[in-house]
Amino acid sequence: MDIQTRDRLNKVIMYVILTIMAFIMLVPFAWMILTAVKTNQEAISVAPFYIFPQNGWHWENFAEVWKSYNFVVLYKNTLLMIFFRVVCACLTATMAGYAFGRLHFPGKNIMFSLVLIQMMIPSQIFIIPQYLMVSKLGWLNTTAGLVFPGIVTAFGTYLLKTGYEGLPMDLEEAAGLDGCNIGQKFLKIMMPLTRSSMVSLGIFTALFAFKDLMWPMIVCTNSATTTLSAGLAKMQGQYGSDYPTMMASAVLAVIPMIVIYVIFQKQFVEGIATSGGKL
Amino acid sequence: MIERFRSFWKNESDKLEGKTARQKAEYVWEYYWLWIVGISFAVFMIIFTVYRATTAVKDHWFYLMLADTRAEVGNDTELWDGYVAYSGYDPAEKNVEFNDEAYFDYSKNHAAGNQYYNMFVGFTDAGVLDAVTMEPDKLSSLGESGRLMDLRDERCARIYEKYKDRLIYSIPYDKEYSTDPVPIGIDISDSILISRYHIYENGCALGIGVQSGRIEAVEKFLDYVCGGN
Repeated sequence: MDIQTRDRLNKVIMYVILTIMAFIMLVPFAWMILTAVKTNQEAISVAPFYIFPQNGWHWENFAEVWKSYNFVVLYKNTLLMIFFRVVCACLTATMAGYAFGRLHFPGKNIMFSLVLIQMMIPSQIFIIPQYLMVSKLGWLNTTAGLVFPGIVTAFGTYLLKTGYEGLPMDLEEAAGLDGCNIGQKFLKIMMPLTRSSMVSLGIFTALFAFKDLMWPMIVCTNSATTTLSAGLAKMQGQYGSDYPTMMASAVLAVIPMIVIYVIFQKQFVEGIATSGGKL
Repeated sequence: MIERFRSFWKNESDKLEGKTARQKAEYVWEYYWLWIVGISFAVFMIIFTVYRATTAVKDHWFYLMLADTRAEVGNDTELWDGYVAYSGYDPAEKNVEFNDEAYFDYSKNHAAGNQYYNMFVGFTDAGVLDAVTMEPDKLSSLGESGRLMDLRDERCARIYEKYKDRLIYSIPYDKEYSTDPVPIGIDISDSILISRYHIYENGCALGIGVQSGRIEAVEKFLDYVCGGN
């Protein structure tokens, strides 16, 4: 076998493996969409098992779900929570990251160690004090209450600190020679250069906020203020579950994240590569 | 400081002289948009925080978790209305919370990784949760965690006396506390929770949160559901 044929064969094998893997990854999504357009009987039928709907494609399931559950309110609450969490996380993390990465002040290392320690503690530990704070502030059942745990982020601080440390010292020195004070150096020179790290942080924050189930369930007991994840959790009924309805809801719920992914696909991939994060 | 501010103000006023209102607004926005946005946000947050802190209903009369049920027995349901009317608590003053969105079974791997169980732990340890209902076997298992009140505690003396023929026992993991079964729950399978609302299939039991400070509200709830209202 010559080299060219062997290379071609390797490539074919690689493509076959990747296609199979991609297919496996897509099966749950395909199952979700196909179940959403079946009847409940078809959805729960095991023998015979139907991959595709047998009695027509019931697109009206989506309309039914949209009417039954207040999706407009769920979308609004979720998007508001994501927006404010992303803004707050980027704002606080970039300032803290700059301070830890570029400034010199007493106790810097100890303070940064405290930030890192926070990353090592399970988030459940913070729930009691956070709940009590939100409760005492009177922020239960409000967007502010939903956003509260995302105002500061240890991961974001670490990510941005690394980003600032990677920038050359000359830029800041040149800005200083031109008469910039610390605030101007930060705002006009350094912060714009960490844009890619901030986009990564924004994407991670948005994803974690979107799939956060526990916090919305704790602080939002009112259906008018709850989010998509918590709203979906309530859709199972007492005497059984209408799977097509549930799957139609799930399809509607993932739409915002698919849109965000499509828009920020490049930054999304870059973000994972630069931060070494996983979802 | 004041002198510096005056000088800055004069400097900026000089720059704005002779400009139209639109040009002035554009200049201010161009150079101070960050300050404007930041101060506006800070002012909004201060007003919002003060308003919510002074007007929002923060405390609870009673917090009940109706765990592991798919029945609609949360806030503003018939059960909730009935209890509020029976107890005489004013929801405008403090909250009466019936949380029917918690699904966990401690007997299965100690509910490890279950977010609803974490929520139960959070509410219990924070002293927010007053009582939890679930099927008797599951409650007995949950009692092992030490997060349900020992009903021999003097705070529960009246409840203990009133319902001593319905007690559910559990041996806690904390062997220093007790190696014998401890009463941690009350069987209320004959209550309206089962006969009228059918919230569980295999009976119903109630446990009191170990940090609860509102035992009187729990007693009222027991009287309400067991009194055939």
